[in-house]
Amino acid sequence: MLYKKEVDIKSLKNNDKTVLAKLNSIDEVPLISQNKIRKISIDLKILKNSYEHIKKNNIKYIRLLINNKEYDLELIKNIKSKNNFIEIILPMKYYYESLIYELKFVDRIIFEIDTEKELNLFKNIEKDIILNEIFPYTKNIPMCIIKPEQCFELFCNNSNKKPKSCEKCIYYQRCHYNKNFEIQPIKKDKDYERFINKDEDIIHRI
Amino acid sequence: MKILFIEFNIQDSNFPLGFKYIKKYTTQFHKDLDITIKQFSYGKRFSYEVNANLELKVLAFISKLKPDIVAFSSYIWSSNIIDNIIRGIKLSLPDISILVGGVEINYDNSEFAADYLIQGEGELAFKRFIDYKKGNLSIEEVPSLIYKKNGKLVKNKVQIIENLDELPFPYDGKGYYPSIKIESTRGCIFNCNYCYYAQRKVRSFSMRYMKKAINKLFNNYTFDNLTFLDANFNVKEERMFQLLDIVQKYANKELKIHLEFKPELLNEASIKKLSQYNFHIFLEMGLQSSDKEVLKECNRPYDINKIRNNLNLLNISKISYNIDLMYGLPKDNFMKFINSAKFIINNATKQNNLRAHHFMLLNGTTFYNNNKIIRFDKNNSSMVIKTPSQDVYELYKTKLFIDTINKELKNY
Repeated sequence: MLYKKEVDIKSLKNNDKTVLAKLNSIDEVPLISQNKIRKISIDLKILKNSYEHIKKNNIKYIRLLINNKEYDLELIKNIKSKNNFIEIILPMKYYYESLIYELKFVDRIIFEIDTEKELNLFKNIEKDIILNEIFPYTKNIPMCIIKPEQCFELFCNNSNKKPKSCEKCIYYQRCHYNKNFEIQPIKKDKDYERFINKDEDIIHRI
Repeated sequence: MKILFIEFNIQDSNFPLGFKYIKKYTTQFHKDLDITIKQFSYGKRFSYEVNANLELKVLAFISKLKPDIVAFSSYIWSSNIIDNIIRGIKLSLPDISILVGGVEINYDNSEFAADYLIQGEGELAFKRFIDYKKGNLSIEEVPSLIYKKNGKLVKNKVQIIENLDELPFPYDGKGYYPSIKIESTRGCIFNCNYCYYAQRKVRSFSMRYMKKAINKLFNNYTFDNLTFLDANFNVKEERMFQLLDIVQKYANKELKIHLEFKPELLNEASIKKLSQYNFHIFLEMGLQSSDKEVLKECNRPYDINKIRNNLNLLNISKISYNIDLMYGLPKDNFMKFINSAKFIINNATKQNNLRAHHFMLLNGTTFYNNNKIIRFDKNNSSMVIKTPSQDVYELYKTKLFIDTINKELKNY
């Protein structure tokens, strides 16, 4: 996953390649064309009400947040073209059996997982996701529970507040702590350390 | 004696360089030979339409030509096709002698279906094989030949042409090819464990030979791309610039020159000099991994800072390049691969995709002798499906990661 920085569209200053403009309401949609924005993060509800505007602006990268069980797959299908990249963040609680096949057209699915039960479900369907040629990412699971390379947070610095027991964990900087999982702080992972080390003076695309 | 050389490529319009070398060299000594070189495209081999079935098409061609000897050039993409065709020849045209050469033959496979195998370079071996077929040599005197005697595998001593100038230049006609490939050196001074070229003795054509060859090429052929097949063209910098200076005399500015480079051997002065040629230079470079443990296991050490600096210089030059990774190498894992991908994506900014190849375990390489590396096909060069550090599931996941990153880069 390439590095992207989510910034509220209203407070957007530099519109460089790494910026993902976040829309929080329908009123902000005209800012897309005003600021010539090519990458957005948008709620499916807002997309529904601004579909025509977004379609005609040739957005190259759309992160779609699913926030309702009654989501409209046709809408997502219609916004997809060969000239854009569609990534959806799907809460595991909205998953149903045939969804993996119905979502074959999207470029990336990030499964938002909040409980052990949801994690077990994810583990059960992981092989089917892969057969559908989609690399499975997870969100909201601590990195000591699942492999860090599968965590959305590894690629976006999206860490949250953690308990004291996490302080000595190697993943502290990027991990998303979730109290619903029993954590086991990890002290050594040299491949992860190499990943988070930044090289100076170069453009970071990952 | 009627001989048919067969090779398989994606397109059937390539210049058959390897077979042309063998034909030109052998016919210097055996002028009576009637040699046909035939290329087949394997693009449609899985079609169920009868006439498009590649094996059937090849068998039909062989049966019409009725050669005394059929020789195949076997590569990773064609070894299975050749196995099928050999089975067909044995059943329907049993009088034809079958010989297989090429980089992918397995020297240890006693179950091979052909009558003979040639190990390594084919020019000298094939010439002497014809001597044997004419009754002038015993089979034991044919260098590099592998055959069966009383059910046992016999491997004759490998012998190659030491002085490459003895080989006639294979481009002896006229015409247009989109892409022309030539050699100036055979072999490689490095010993990467995954690479077939590692074990070969390094020999070069003389500069006098190359001057004449390049002159002949430009005077008789038109082409858009010229590829030097040398494993690492920039190992000897002085020689590299001498060769490019010769090309410069004939090339127009539309010509693209493709060269295989070791990225760590570049420097500021050489990049500057390469940028001054009037033709377009396209470099193919192999990084394989950025992980020290993986590189050590592969015997492919390099200074990563040097490569980073060279990529930065190439990014602001007019030179185009590709720099590739390999996934599934021993000691590699998914996270290490992501680190290698990160290095490429962050530093090779002129390249707008992540080029990563699945590790293919080739016959005749050092890794071939490592029985902990499992490949798809025991006898033929094929993709690795298990190493001590990765299983097939992780390898497939890596492939998906690469595909998704490339879709993302397209829209970045």
